[in-house]
Amino acid sequence: MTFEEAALLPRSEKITLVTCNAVKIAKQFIVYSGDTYYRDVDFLVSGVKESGTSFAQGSGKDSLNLSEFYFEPSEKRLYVRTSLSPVELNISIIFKLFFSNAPLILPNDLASGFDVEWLPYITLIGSVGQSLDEENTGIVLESQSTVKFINTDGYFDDIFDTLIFENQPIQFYSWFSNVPITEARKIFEGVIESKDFSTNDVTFKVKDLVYKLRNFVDLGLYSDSDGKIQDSLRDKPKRRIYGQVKQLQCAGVDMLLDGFTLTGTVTIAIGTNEMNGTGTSFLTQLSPGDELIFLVAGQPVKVGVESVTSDTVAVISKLIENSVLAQSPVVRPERSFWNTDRVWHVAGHKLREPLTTITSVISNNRFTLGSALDLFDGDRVLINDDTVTIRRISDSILVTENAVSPSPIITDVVRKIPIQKVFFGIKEMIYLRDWDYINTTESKITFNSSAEFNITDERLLGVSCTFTNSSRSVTTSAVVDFRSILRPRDYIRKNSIVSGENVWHEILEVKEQEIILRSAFTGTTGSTTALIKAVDYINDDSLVTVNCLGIESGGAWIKTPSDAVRHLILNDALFSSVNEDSFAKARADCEYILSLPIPLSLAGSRSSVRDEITKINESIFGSLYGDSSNSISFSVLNSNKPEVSSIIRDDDILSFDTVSNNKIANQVKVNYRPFTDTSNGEDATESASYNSGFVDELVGINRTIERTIYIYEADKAEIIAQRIALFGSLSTTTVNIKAKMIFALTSVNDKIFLSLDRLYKRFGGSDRRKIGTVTSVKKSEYGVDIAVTDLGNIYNRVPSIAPDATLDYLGSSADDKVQWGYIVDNDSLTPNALSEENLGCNIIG
Amino acid sequence: MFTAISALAITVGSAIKKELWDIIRVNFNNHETRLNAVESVLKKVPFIKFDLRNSASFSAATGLYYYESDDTFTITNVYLRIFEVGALTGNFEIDIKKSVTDLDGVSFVSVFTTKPSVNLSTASDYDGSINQVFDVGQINVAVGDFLRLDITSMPANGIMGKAMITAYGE
Repeated sequence: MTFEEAALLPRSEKITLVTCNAVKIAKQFIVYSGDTYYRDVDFLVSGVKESGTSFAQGSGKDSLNLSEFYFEPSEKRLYVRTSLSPVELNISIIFKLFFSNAPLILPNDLASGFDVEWLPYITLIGSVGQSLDEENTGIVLESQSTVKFINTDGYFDDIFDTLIFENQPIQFYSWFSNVPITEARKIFEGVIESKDFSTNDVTFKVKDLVYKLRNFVDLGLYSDSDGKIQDSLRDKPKRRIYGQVKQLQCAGVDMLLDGFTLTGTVTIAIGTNEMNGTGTSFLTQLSPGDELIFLVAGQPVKVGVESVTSDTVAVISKLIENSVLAQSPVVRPERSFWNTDRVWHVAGHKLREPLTTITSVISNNRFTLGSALDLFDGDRVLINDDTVTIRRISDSILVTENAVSPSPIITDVVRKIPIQKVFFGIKEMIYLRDWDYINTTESKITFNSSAEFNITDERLLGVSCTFTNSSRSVTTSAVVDFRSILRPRDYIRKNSIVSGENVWHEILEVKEQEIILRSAFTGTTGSTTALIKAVDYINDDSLVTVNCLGIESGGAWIKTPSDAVRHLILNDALFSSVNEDSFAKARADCEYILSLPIPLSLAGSRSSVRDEITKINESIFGSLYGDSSNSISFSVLNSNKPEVSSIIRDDDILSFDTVSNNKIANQVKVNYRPFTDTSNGEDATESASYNSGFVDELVGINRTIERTIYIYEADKAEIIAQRIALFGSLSTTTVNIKAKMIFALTSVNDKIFLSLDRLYKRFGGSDRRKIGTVTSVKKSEYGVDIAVTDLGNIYNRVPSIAPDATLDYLGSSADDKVQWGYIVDNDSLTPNALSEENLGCNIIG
Repeated sequence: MFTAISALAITVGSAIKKELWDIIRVNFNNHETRLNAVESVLKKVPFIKFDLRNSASFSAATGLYYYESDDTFTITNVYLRIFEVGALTGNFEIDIKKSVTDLDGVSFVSVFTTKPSVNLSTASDYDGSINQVFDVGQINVAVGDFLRLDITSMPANGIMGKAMITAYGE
């Protein structure tokens, strides 16, 4: 007999079981052998810790390794193996206590483990349950309950205060004595919040594990070890990215700030203004107008750079009173240039970087891949060191926009670039030409020194300039002031196509009719027009953004809402396990790509796991809850109907009532895919909207629902907008039911088929049958209270694909009609053109 | 395998059965497979086939060749190939620019982010360029667009006798 079958019997003896942990500090042990010690205990030992670090469970007292424990149940004796005597250590023992509402000897693990006595001290278990909001989204509310124990025999007198019960795990189970113990069902799992003592009884107040969601998302913090960073960034969380993001603002970790240290050393004699260098690169690192900071007699002394003569000789702006000997001064350039602000931090984790191989070459832009997982049209991939864009993915065939050069061969690797685009302001930089990336335990981009030069458009300097072979001087006799056109660090070249003459030169100094280059012109001496580039360099205040993929964990992209919630639950809320089947189903139900950076803004605040899961849930009608076994589960609301639903009929319930809620709206606007506006640096989102013609025509309410969702794909955002409109097109009805114990295993998010004689006829179908989702369950020893919502009757109005054996509409049963979809007449929009009974149904949901 | 869907399967009142969707799915997959097969043998559009001869005869090389498209295609590949290196040094580099308006010189925009080039100082005889990177925003050519071939860098230390420039789209 199963638990469910026993629950249906009127006279099954219902047993309540409770296990809980309690902790005791222990110093006194007796030497057993060598480093192994023992002590006798009063309870089963489920764990041992030393200064908070858990010991592993050994297989026997004579074979213990260091930091292992073994509990011998027949002797009630604990063995530990430690590096020092336990008296010198901080050892704590975790006991497991067993209670029931009847005297029982049962396996300690409710399976095949050794038997223990379950003490018959339970007198009362408070009701336990969960509830979601009426849209069936969000996170179940933290629930509390109580368990009361008899204490008339003084059982708790010795342990109430000597053992630590607070914050220790506790579980409630329900079982019938006429079914195997393995059929016992966990009805609550949580921790002990507080305890009350009296001579007659002891009460534990308990709370479920949902409290763990209050943990902060575990993000690394920026520090000086990341590089030269702004003060405002220090101790702020590094980004974690779920899914894929557009124009994510990056953090500079290679900033100029107060300057950079000059390469090599310099010497200045007293009373001179000539600075001589050793190992220096003045022509590269200095420009007239830069400021140098020396330490003279322990005090910083600032001088300006007047001119640069060579890599080892420069002139400073004033005579100095104390000599400078072999110092490496700090340089504050008048203008930031390409030697700083090169490295920008993207995320505090490895980004997803899909890799696959070519299994056949059809042409030089058409290949068959080993796997096309996580590759999409428009992606940029690297094949044979050539960056190409995917034109189309068809099953495992990849078609690129351009030919791969050189032509690839079988086994060549196809690598999707995890950072697809990089922007400096509004200008896009080109991968490998302008930037590269690091993607190991963290992800960063590094700009090449020529990046800004590359993205700057060239202009014609329409005056004749004289370029002289082997000279750094470019002159003109035209009436022009070069200083109004060019600055040091800009570029100029002779307007020629002859190789060697058409090389760009970085400008060292600009005078009225002369330009000094940093390197000598190598072409033929002559006068002609010139081409120039006035370069805008990345600096500490620049806006650098990237389009990139999100976090990879266990070799897989944390891409979908289900993936992200699971990652947060296991990685940050520190749950040890989840209901994997529910997460897999939620993933299949909603394979949308998330677009969720945490925190949303650069240098934003830390946030809780609950806050982030709530954002995800609100984006896709997700809900996090405990299933009937109290295992953490995830579900995405949709109009799918299971082939076999739980059916509630009149004889299953004690009573019911209904409550309707009017949140009807005709207009929905969703803001999705948050990004940084590259034109002004402000936070922005894309938006999609939907107007409900149904509400406009039939209801006439003029109301707008606006919601922010963290979805990447535009078409999916539109679907969400349409779905919100669908749910908001009719009043939502909640049916509150007092049911019998056969619904003890019902959990939130279960879909239930209501077939009640006195339930009003539904819209669309003119029948009393209705399908809804459970939004609240409250279980007590006497029955189950269930709330079922119909979400604007969506389950009846949206058709589902029918089993192949389903009869056509005219021959189908009322139960079939409420569940399955039928092809409708073009004019009447009903499966039976002569009837109005199915009006308003068969709509896309 | 393609299966025709009977009119009976979609008469009013028919249940929307799984088997109907199975047929639709299989048919789509069948079409996709056949579409790929057809696409893979489509003839390419060779929009530039240019032999450069006696480069000493010009000093500027903007607009060596023009092409007005009478088709819609995507530029997929450009081949730049030299013949004998001899004593030549320096860079041989070309550019292809596109104009979506007219032949006015200011309307042309390069289709590359890195232009194809061959460094004669290190190249072997008959080498080709492999370094070009297309600008994905410029590679789609519409009917009436103009394409222009420029040479942006010529080798030094002598006269390059000949070179071959070929560009394809599809």
